[in-house]
Amino acid sequence: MAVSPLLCTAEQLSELARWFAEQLGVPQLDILETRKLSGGAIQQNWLITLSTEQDGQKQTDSEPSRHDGSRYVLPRYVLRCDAPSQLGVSHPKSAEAALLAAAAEMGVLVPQIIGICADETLIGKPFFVMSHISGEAQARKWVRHPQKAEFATALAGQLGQQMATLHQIPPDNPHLAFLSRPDTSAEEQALAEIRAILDKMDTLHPVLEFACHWLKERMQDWQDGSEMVLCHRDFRAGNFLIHDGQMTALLDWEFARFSVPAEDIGWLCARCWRFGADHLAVGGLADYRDFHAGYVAAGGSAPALRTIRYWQIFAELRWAAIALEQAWRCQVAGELSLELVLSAPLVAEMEYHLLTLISEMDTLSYDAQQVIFEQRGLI
Amino acid sequence: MSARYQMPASYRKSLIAACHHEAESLRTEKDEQKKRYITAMLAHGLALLKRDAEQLEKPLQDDTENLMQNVNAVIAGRQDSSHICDQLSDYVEAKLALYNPDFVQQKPDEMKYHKKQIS
Repeated sequence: MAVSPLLCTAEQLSELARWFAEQLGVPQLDILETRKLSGGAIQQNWLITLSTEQDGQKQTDSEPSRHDGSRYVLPRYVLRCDAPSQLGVSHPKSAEAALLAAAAEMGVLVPQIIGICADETLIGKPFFVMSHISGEAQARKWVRHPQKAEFATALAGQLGQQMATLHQIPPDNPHLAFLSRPDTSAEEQALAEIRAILDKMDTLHPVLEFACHWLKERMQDWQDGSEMVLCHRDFRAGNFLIHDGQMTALLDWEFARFSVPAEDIGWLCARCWRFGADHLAVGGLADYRDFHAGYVAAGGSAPALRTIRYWQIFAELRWAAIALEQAWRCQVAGELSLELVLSAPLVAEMEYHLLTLISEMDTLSYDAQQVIFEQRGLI
Repeated sequence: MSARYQMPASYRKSLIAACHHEAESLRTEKDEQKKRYITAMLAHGLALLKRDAEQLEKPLQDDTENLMQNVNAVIAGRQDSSHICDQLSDYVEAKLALYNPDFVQQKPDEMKYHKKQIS
């Protein structure tokens, strides 16, 4: 039996096996393997393989059980828990599971929740378990995929359709009861979040401070009066699974909250999430116009280009602040991880994007930006 | 490029400690995929440290504090903001020379920063 750092003692491993048996309605099962999935600097995802003497009662759509000699090997599951130290704005696991439930009810493609465990004694931290869904999230792989031209247009349309569906989740959905409605605008809320991160850093960041000031000064122009809706706030290449050129699941709901739709669109289309394919606004995968068509066809009311551009600037600022915070976790909070430390150098890339976007907004008229967009889909 | 940037000492210290930590974890890691990932990260971290060491051979120079003062002056309305983006772009290019030297070169021309004025 492979024992991983998730389950450091045999006792914890057998406790987890008992918990799984209870959730799946089988009398007894064994954990064959736990394997940490790649990605997830803030949260950890573990692939769990289980076996039992009789077939599981709670099936998922993604994988059937298979009989392996004397035992059934159950569908694989994913256990999601916090990394050793997390970001302050991440939701607890129970809240993230509730968000997935609300999204599933509306038809957003998400993994199915199998069970939630708030008991910290079981494996040392709260967790939830979800179905394992086929697909790969690795953005760089899809951005460089040799058949990208064949699937990218349809994929962007599907991403638009999925995001529009997400934005139509009724705010009074009972699963969202834990989410408070902010008493300030989405834009003020967004800047306050960045301010809180920058204020705890012991290093100076003149570009980020200037970008905060620039956005604050243009608050009137930035705000477009959109209704707040449930936003994922991390909907980007790398956080959705793709299988055979189609999106199969939207993952990582830890930052979701009420905001304006343009925040999600600006984040998805941010220059920092194009992985070298700079001309393709939708995650380096496709043209914005393909995404827009899917978004509108699914009932979404797409924000004006100007609003999206403000939120693109905010996206660069936000990712820079998160990257700083990740490195800070290592420098100050003592979480020794090269992956986290290597986040800090990325800040310079976001700073470059920030200055370029700000300069474009300052020097090009809105009409000129609109022409560039309409002719080349460039945002 | 007229602005100067040096890796903060506290960051250098964390980077060295994290490289040691990952090098140690590589000895015990069994998963080949994870080994390749750690090896790539280590190569990146060590390349950063090498460029930093080359820079440290020159006299210590960094414009972060000066630029922060300029930005604060713009925020307080004591200074016109027309030059600040150009000043900051010089500074960011100096940072990128250390952290990702190919970054600007790889950008398409319409996504590059174009200076408005000579500062």
